[in-house]
Amino acid sequence: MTCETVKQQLPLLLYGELTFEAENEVEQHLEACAGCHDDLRRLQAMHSALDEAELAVPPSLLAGCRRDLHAAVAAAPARPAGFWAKVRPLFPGAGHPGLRMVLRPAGALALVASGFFVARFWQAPPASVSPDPTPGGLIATRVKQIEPDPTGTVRIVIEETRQRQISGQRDEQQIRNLLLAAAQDPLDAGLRVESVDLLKEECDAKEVRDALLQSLLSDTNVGVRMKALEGLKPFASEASVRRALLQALVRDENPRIRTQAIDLLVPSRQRDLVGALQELMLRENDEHIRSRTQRLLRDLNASVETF
Amino acid sequence: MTAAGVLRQGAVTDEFALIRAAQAGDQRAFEQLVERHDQSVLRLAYNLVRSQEDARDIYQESFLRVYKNLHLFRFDCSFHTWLYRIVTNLCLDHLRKRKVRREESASFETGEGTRDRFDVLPETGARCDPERRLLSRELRRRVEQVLEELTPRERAVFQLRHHHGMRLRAIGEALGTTEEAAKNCLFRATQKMRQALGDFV
Repeated sequence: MTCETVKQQLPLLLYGELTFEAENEVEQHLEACAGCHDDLRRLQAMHSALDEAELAVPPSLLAGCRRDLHAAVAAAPARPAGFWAKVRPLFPGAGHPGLRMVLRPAGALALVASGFFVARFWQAPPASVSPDPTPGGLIATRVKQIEPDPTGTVRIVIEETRQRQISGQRDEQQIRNLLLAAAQDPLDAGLRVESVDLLKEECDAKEVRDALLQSLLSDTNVGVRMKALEGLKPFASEASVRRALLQALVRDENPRIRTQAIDLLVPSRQRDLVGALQELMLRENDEHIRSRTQRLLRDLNASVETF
Repeated sequence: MTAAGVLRQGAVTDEFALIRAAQAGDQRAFEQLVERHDQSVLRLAYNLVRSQEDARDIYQESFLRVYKNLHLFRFDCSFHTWLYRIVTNLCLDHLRKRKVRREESASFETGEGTRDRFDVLPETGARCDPERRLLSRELRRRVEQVLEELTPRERAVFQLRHHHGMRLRAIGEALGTTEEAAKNCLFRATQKMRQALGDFV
């Protein structure tokens, strides 16, 4: 490495933004080159000076901002509710204040979808289900079909969704079934994240592990996949989990997932790891993962390339 | 009980739950979400635009945008990244407009005559030691000058990396650009600062 290259890398070195290998090379150069070392010292002094120059936020400014925001939010019109804001008055029973969200089209659709999944997993009403909180329990309605006729009459088909609450421990079968259903909800990533977050504590059960494997391999949301991966960690040596980790290693688009998959696969050092790492080298763009994979392959006495 | 009520009881502490409650219209959950992030948002805005009044406007506009658009947040990136995208865009717009609007002088008129702009700079973290204060004052003068010379993007990248400790990759995401572009901005900002502050440190 030349002095010029090293000088260009120094800011990145101080900010910890160099790859492991580049950092190593720069540090080796610094040990042997007094000029660059002096440059580093000056840059460090400038960093400290810049730390001092940061403006401190006066507490009164923060308090004032919060006050203004509180007032502005209180005065702001309700968030856009679209079509349903106009339709709501047609359904007097649906005006309950806690039900605003589900009247939005996305919310209503999510509920319908949840209902579908719940129906699949929930064959009979369990004893601990509470009675409907309101007579009828109607909380969301959706116009499914509109048929005008020449006389001016309009026939409207309405889909109605009911809501009720159930509560129980995470390991109770009924709660687990609902969590498993919510973990696959096609419309709501937030719901999937929350469900998988709860399920990951229940991974001793095979059905939960299977659901998490599916989430890890097929969920489109990285938050859900990360939670699934966390839950599967203690079972990394199990064959099905290991297979999924190998797949995630070469297929997942998120570098955090790929890095974690490496962490979990490495301890067992089985031979199938070599093939996956070699495949990874063919397509990996992340420099950090590439250099780590190269080192691992060398440690495993395997070729870095496939031939 | 509202979702925020559940949160207060410690039953659910995940930020996801807070966002979902706020999305469902729970005002208290929204306020809790704001309180989790607003100190760093204000710190960023204040240090980028270097004016309390402007920082206040940016704070207000940022969180009002969050309030109005939270239902569109789909959990496909972290809330922090989403929020910082809003805040940095507002700051960049502000800095760009200011750059066009002014090449304003370093002094300004008050009821008591002309004053140097740097005399009224807000206090930084410097202690009360007189010598240190003098040094700190001179340094601040130079930092203010060099910050004015940076482009808005260079300034934002420097601020996010140096004072907020954000990784270049995350900065790229927040600014809608690549990690490489953020790295180049940081490099240029550092070069300009070294030229301006080199003999001072």
